[in-house]
Formats: sequence, structure tokens, C-alpha cells
Amino acid sequence: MNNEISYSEALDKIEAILEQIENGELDVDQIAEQVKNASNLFKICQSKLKGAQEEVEKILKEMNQDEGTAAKQ
Amino acid sequence: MTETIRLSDLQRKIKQTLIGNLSSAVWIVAEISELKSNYSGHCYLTLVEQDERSKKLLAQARATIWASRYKLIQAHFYDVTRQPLKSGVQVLICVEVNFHEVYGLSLNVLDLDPTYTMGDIARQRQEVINRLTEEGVLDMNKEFALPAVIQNIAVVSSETAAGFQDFMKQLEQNSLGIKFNVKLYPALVQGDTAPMSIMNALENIKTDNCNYDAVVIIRGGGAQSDLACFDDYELSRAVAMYSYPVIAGIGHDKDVSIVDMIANRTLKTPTAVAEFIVSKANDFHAELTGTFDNIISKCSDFLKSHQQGIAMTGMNISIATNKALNTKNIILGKTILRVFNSSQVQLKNKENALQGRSAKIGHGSVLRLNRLSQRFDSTSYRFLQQSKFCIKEEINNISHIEKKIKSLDPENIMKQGYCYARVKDKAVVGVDAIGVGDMLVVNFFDGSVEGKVEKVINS
Repeated sequence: MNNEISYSEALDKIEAILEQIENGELDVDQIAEQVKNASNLFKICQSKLKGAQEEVEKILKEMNQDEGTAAKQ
Repeated sequence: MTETIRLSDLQRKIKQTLIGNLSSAVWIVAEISELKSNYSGHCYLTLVEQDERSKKLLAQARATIWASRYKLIQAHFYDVTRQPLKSGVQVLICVEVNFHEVYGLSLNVLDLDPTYTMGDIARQRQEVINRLTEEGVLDMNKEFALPAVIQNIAVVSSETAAGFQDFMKQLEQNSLGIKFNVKLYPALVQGDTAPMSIMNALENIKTDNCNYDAVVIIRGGGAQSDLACFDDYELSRAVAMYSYPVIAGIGHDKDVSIVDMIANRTLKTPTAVAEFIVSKANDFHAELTGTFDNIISKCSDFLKSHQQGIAMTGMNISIATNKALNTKNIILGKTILRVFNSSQVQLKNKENALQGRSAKIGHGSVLRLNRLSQRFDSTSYRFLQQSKFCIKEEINNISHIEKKIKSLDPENIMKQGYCYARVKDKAVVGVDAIGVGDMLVVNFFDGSVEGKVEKVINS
């Protein structure tokens, strides 16, 4: 999938789609199409956030462990 | 009528005839088959002559040696033959014939020539030697090499014999205090039973299997006595073929017995045997001491000569080293001085420069590093916490977007009761785009309906 796209790029695209829809620039077919796109982009953003969250949690956990072992020593 | 005479007349006639014809003494050769002497010192003999091959008795006669003659004859016989007058001996005797009316014929021994017996003994002896030679055993015992030290010794002797005592005394009193291990195997060493008794003792030694260095047969110490037992064929053969070297000390100085001839080593007396054994041990000891001294002296010479060499070399090394060191020392001294001087100047400069700097850096840098480290730790922690928070925020934010996206999805809208229409596959927004007769497709969330437009109404 679109792994190369960055989080902020994806988010920008979603905003643009929303703006187009809200401004009535699209017909029903196009809306359905764009909503699908936005939904996909949203999934990318969600997974990136989830990944970042997990990464941070992991680092924090390691830091706490290091402190713990350092304190023991 | 036939003339008769009395027995006594007959006997007298026989006596007269005999004496008349055999009045003078005659020398005869005979073997003594029996010899008896009684309390009065008279000796009664039975003389026989046998056929040499068949041993059949050819003649027999009684003989008497009256006490006065017997003493002389006996002594002379022994002096010459070294053995007593006894049965089994061949003798050359001078006899006169006697006839007694009551006791009958008897020979009165007047003289005895022992040299004849000597010859006979020598002949028998020679026969034994010849037999042993033919059997190839004569020199067998001599083939043993006596060990350098004869220390474990089996002695065949009579326990009570003075010879054995002399032997032991001589061994025990050796000047070096060498200990000899001696075991006595008692045996009779004279008389007719001696050969068997000695052979039994030799057999016992073999059975003991004590690994003796030599076996010593000794006798003597007392009066000279019968040597004939040591000429015995069986005994001589046993000694010759014996499994240990045999040393004989039979104790005589005139004759040599066959055992003497056959033994590995023969000495005249038991004392001489002991002396021989001790002197062998002493010789060995002296040889050992000599070798030891020789080794010591060789080692000492070797060490001395090398010590001198080493001393010289050492001195040379010392001189050369000192010389070399002195030269190097001078150069080194100069170099050190130069190095020292220039390094002092350099050091001073560096020190000054360093003092200025280290004042600034030294103390501060440590503190700062600590602080930096602490700060880094807390910053990164704070950053991470912040990130965590931001991500959460973002997740909230995008969930809002998600809602928005969902709300905009036509499908969701249509589920609420809305629908849209298409004409010619194109979504229409207003009635302007629809004409009568157009095929209108109305799309619902779960499907579509199709119909022809009959009327267009503008609102």
C-alpha cells in the first residue's frame, strides 16, 4: 500500500478531500470515490500513529528498566 | 680187612703233608670279604677270589692277623692308602699255611703290601674318571662363572664337624663386616653312607630353590680320615651335573678326590674356603671403592679445569663489560643531560600553559558533563512523554476526522432515507438535466430502481 506517504502528507490529502466535499465541488459519484480514498488514507495515518505509540511505549519501558537495573547496581 | 686209622691220625698226616710242602710263606692276592677284630686285638678275615666277569666265587679261605702284627699292618696300610683296612679291598698279603687238627685250615697273615691296594684304588678311581669323561660331565660344574660376591651360601657338612665351625668363624670375622647368608644342609661326610647322605643334602638344596650363589661341601678339621667316599661315581656325577657352582673344602693336603677334581673350585680346608669367599667380597668392595674414588677424582678434575676456564671467561666478560659500559655511560650521561635540560624547559612551558587552562576546564567540565547527562536523560524522558501525549491527541483528532469521513459517505447518508438519481450513467443534481423520456435510475443504499420520465415538474 501507500507506505511511502508520510503521516502529514496523508493528513493533508484527507483535509483537501474534506474541503472539496464540504465546498460541494464534487458530485455523488466523486464523493463516494473520494470518501473511499480518505478512508484508506485514514487507515494509513491510524497505523502510523499506532506504530509510533508502540515505539514510544517501548522506549519508555526500556528507560525505566535501565534506571531500575542502574539503581540496583 | 681194610686198614683203619683214627681221625686225629688223618689230621696229623694232612698237617704233615701241608707243612712239608708249604713250609715257607707265600704272597697271595685276594679280596677281603669280611673283617672282624675282637677285644684281644686279633683280626679275623675271610679272603675270597671271584671271577672278574661272573663274580662267581672261585676260592675262599679264613685268615688271621695276630694282634701284634695287626696294629703295625693297619697303620702302615692307612699311611699309604689313606683308608682303613676293610672289606671290599683288594690286598696283596704274605701268608703261611696253618692246619689245626680241630680248627682246620687257616692262613696266618705275616705281612701286607699296601702299594698293591693303592694301585687297585687308583685303577678304580681312573675308571670313574674315564666314565665321567666319556659322559662329558667332568668339567660341567667348572663351566659356572662364580659371581663376584658369593653371599648366599648353602653348606653341606656335618653340623658338629670342627670344619664347619672354622668356616663360620672365618666368614663372620671378616674385616669389612660383610654379612653372609649361610644355611647348613647337614650330611655325613665320611664313611660308606657319606655319598648318599651328601646327595640327599644336594637334593634338599635344589628343592629349597633359594637362589644360592654357591654350594660349599666341607669336611675336615679333625684327624685325617677316609677320602674314598669322595671318589664315589654317583656322588661325583651329581656334583658335576649340579645346578649351582660347588666349592669343595674337603680337608686334606696329599691327595685329590674326584669331587675335588670336578668341583667348580677346590680349597684345602674349610677355613680356606671361607677365606676365598671373604677375599672375593673384599676384592669386589675394593674394586667398587676404587671405581668410586676414580669417579670422584675424575669429576673433581673436570670441575677444577672447568672452574678455571669459567673464572677466566668470567673475568674477561667482566673486563669487556666494564669497558663497554664505561663508554656507553659517558654517551648516555651526555644524552641524559641534554634530554633533561630540554625537557625541563618544555615541561615548564607546558605546565604554565596547562595551569591557565586547567583552571578553567578542570573543575567545570566534570560538573557540566554531569549536568548535561542529567539534562539529557530528563529531556529525552520528557520528550517521550510529550510524544506519547501528542500521539494520543492526534489519535483523538483523527477519530474526529474519521467521523467526518463517515458522515460524508453517500452510502451512510442514503441509509438515512436519501437517494440519488442518474441519467445516462451520470448523477443528476437538478431537474434541469432531465428530460421527458429519459431513463432515470434512482439509487438507494441497497439497490436501484429504473423508470422512464414522463413528466418534469420545476418547483
